[in-house]
Amino acid sequence: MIKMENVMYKYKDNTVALNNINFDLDKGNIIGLIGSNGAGKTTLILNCVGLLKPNKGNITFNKKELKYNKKFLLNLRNHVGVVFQDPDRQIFYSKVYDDIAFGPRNLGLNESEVKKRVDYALKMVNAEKFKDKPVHFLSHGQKKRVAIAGVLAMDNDVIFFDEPTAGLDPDITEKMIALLKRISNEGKKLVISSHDMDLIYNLCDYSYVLNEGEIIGSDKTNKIFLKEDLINKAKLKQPWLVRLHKNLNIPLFKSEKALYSFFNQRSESFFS
Amino acid sequence: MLIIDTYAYTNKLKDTNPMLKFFLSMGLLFTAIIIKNIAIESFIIFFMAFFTIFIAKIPLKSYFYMLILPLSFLLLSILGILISVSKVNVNYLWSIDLFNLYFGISKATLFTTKHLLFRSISALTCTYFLVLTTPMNDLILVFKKLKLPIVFLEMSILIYRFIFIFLEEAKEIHIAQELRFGYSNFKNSYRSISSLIASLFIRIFKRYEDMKYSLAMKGFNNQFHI
Ligand SMILES: Nc1ncnc2c1ncn2[C@@H]1O[C@H](COP(=O)(O)OP(=O)(O)OP(=O)(O)O)[C@@H](O)[C@H]1O
Ligand SMILES: [Mg+2]
Repeated sequence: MIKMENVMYKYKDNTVALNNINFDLDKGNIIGLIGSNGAGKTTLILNCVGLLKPNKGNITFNKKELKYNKKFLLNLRNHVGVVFQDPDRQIFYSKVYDDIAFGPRNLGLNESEVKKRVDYALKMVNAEKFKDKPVHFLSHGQKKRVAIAGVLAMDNDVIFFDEPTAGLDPDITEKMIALLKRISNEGKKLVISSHDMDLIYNLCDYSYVLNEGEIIGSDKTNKIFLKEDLINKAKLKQPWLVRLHKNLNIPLFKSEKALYSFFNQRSESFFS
Repeated sequence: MLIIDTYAYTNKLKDTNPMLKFFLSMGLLFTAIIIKNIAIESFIIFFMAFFTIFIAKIPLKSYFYMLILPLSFLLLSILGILISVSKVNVNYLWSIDLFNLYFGISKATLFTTKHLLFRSISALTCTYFLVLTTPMNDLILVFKKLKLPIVFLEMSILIYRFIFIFLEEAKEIHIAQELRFGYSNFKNSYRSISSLIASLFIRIFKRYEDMKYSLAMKGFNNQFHI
């Protein structure tokens, strides 16, 4: 899959946004990319999919070095999709159906295949209820789902999600997590950028920690969050389940549910 | 966000065949333009207003307000046609004499004005019927069926979407300014509006950059399909 070696990227105003980045998509199935605001998450994603070209280092896709010609990039983007942070910047049609169909139509598919893909994508994101509303009447969370459906309809193998839960309320965030799990279960590889540590802890099996344009650590998710100094250095906070584990000396749980069922069982045996 | 757009999606005729609505309103509009008959034009005005208010159930008050704006322009320009100026007092129905010039209404101008007025109002009610009862996306389908050029269709689709993006962006900036008393007095308003325009410009450019990225990711090949 995609691999970055010693990548350096400098914006036109000489901001070094990425420095000496080594990043490998084969490390996990849901990969977390964590870092505070301005750490370089978005820049890294843009470099991965050939939208920006690194100043130094190299990027490979299936062991072949990225070329920046039309043909290579089209093939790359057939396999890799990105859901950007702001849905309004990805939706071009005011008709939900047409917007989701945009990518498949660009691929030159016939209308019946396009319809199949759109229906599948609408179903995945649970957008059937508002699919006939014009986009400017939708809420932020609904637009976000439309934007995701637009990428799902492309049927890529890898999807990058830049801050999938930013600006969503707790209920919609829960649904977004469920959606991400659903997409992963369909056999797609996900990369999730976020500064929501609980989200990453819950979802990802491998994580990269980004700080001021450099990767300061990477490991299996359940290990990396135990490194308190590393997380603090990245100006982030450990997930609450990890903090409970550390400060109250209770076992480390992967999810809230696991924590509750553990204590429920314990209290049952305590009372009986 | 735009009142006309909201009504287009909520009126009682929104699901009626758009082709039918299009041909009804455009048919009547052309009839009104071609046939110079005040009786027929009045009938069209009455008919279209009746349909818009009682069948499509657009509230009378908003309909009235929406008509006021173009009507005020219309009345002003019609005043210019109605009143003619000349040096001699010839066949004026009514006139006044100012600085040796005669300002007055003649039979001929009265006739033209009357027709112009009725024709414009009937055209206005026909257009309002169409835009108030037909969602833009349906209208675009009608254009497509009528085989209008692709460029025109693409432009309609994109402009329609971008109007709202633009308005949302402008509204966001405006609210942010207003909450910090940006419009509390004349001088502040003056300054705020100039910075609103400036930051709108910058934001639209940033958006354009980001949109280029998503277009590239979706394999855009210079055509917006419909
Ligand atoms: N177009 C640009 N021109 C110049 N500098 C930029 C540009 N875009 C980003 N930067 C800078 O590059 C650095 C990394 O930005 P990036 O957007 O990748 O961060 P991020 O991790 O995505 O942050 P956030 O969580 O706020 O989205 C920042 O210091 C930022 O100021
Ligand atoms: Mg970002």
